[in-house]
Amino acid sequence: MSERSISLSIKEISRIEGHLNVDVVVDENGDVKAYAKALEGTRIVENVLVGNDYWEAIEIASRMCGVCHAIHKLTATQAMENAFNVIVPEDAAMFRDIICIAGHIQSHLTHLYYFALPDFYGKNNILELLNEKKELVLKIIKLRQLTVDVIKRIGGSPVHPITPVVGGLSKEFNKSDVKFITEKFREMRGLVMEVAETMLGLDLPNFSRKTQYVALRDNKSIPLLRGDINLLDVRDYSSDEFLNAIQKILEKYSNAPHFLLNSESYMVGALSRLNINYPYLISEAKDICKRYNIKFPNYNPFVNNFAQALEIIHYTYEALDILENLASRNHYKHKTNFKVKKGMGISASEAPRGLLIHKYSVDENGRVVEANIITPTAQNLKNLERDCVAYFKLISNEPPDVIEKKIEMLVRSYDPCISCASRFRKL
Amino acid sequence: MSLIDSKPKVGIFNLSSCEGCIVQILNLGDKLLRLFELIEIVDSRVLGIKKDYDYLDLAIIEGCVMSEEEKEKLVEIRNRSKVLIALGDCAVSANKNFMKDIVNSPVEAKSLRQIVKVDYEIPGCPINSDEFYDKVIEIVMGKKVIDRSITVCSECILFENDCLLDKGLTCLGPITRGGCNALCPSNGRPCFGCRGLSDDANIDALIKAFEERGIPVPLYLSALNLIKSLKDNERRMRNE
Ligand code: SF4
Ligand code: SF4
Ligand code: SF4
Repeated sequence: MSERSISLSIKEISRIEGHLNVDVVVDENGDVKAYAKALEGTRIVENVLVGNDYWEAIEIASRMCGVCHAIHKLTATQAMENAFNVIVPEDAAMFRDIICIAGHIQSHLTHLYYFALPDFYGKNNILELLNEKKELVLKIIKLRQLTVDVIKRIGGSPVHPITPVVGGLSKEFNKSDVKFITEKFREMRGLVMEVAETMLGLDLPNFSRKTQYVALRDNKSIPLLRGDINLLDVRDYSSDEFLNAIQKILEKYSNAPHFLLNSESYMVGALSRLNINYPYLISEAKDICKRYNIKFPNYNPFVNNFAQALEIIHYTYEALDILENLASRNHYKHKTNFKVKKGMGISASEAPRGLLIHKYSVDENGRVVEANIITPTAQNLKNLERDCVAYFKLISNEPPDVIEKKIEMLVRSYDPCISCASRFRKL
Repeated sequence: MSLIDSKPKVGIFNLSSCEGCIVQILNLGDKLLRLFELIEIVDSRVLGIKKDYDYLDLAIIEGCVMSEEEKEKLVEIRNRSKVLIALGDCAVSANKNFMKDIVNSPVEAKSLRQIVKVDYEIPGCPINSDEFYDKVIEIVMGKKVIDRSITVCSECILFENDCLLDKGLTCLGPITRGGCNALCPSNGRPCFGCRGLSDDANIDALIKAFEERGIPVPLYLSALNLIKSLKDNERRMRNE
């Protein structure tokens, strides 16, 4: 008998970015397999980037994703800067860090509270939650709005920020900008604890499967834009070494590529970041971990939700530190001049959903001749499949609709972003 | 359409897109809650809403059409909807206004208008949240929706920005539909034309202006002439 029975097929999982189907299949021998099928059309491909001027390519790369646009823009910009050997002025880099942090927090808020939270209250969406938990929902909306205000002020546009350019920023900022942003982050500081704690107080499914965890590391912070690539408990890689170490798999059933490291699946994202960088989590967030008995390293993929909530607190405080530093300076150098030259540049960063790599080769006129972008969701797909299999086995005695809901929750806790992941499959 | 008696049923969909324009809807914050008092969202995958409905008063569609399935989905939504809005440049022009991959595009992307009738367009990559809000209210209230046909340039002048053409930059402001408050020039960057051509865009004049200032003329500019003539044709047909 070669007939397979599809045990579970979840179509167009809601409240995630982009279109994803997940099938869990049990064959006649009782073997369980899972398939993460990214469905997005290949709207933008690396081929589109090729032939464009470096700055146009950055704009296009940013359009891969409307949720993690800020990090795509910043990573592409850094990669080009590496190609041209540009050192960005310190002030400009700090403003860019603020844009990055605001984008990071905003993305987490969207995922945790608009997408994931309704699950835990047995609701289908945040609007249903509005009736019951009005005060909380209004605080979440307020918090999210503050991040929008920040990106608008220094990024120009709240989606696809305009100001980050090769060499720094296109606009000069002054003390009143810093004051404005500081006020926004102070207001956020007043809200983040409570909002994060609603997430941290939830009961997560008891499930754990140790895998390979990969994130940036700099041995002093939980870095987003700089650092080596670390494989937990094993080794550091330079971006170049890492690109050589991973293996890209094109699965027939998925529009997004899948990836392996050392022939095994691996996980990127907030959970990996904290598994690797927990010592550098700010003490306010560590105290909460103690209170709720959350430990890192942690092998439960659902804890990714907690890790994101902790990051919301962490990065709010970190932004205030950066702003304090900026406030102590009198004026800000926003840009450095540079010459376009032939070269190759790589940049690795932490998108809200995990490790992101942009690599470009440009010719002497600054035109892109080769582009390679590795998105976090694509890197996570294989690990997601393996978790689906393990978790399915654990809950296979429960009623089918419960299994479906739980698998869907597992998928959502990865915070997949199919928009990004599928964009870059070569035609 | 005046829909004040009962809450209009609205669906928000996305085809191939980055979802940035839908994020711009979320970015309305408090205003979004006010909007929800006026309309009822009955279908939105991103928001996790899927109610039963036979028809939609308003379908808001982001993204372009890149596959047969997306085409079918679009036609199906159109058949069930009284009014259809194309949300953002992906939906309006298959992102060609923004991407400029007009001539040798390696991918076949279609705008909504190439497949179905579109009642209103909200341009931009991304859209401007406030413009979205105003237009939806106007549509829902049955008011006349006024499309601004002024250029980015005319807004830029209001803000008294230094003109980037004088700094030797390739700014498309003079030929681009306004309504974004000259967002890019106000942030020190040339307009990239993401809102599409303004109605009276004079592309040749801009090419001349570039040449006079020694600014390299981008290749896609002459291709834009083609887009313009298509647009003019379309408009003429609509008005007939
Ligand atoms: S128009 Fe731009 S921002 Fe909007 S969905 Fe398309 S690519 Fe994203
Ligand atoms: S900068 Fe651009 S938009 Fe502004 S006035 Fe000059 S050409 Fe027009
Ligand atoms: S200035 Fe031009 S590119 Fe920028 S948002 Fe406005 S229309 Fe789009």
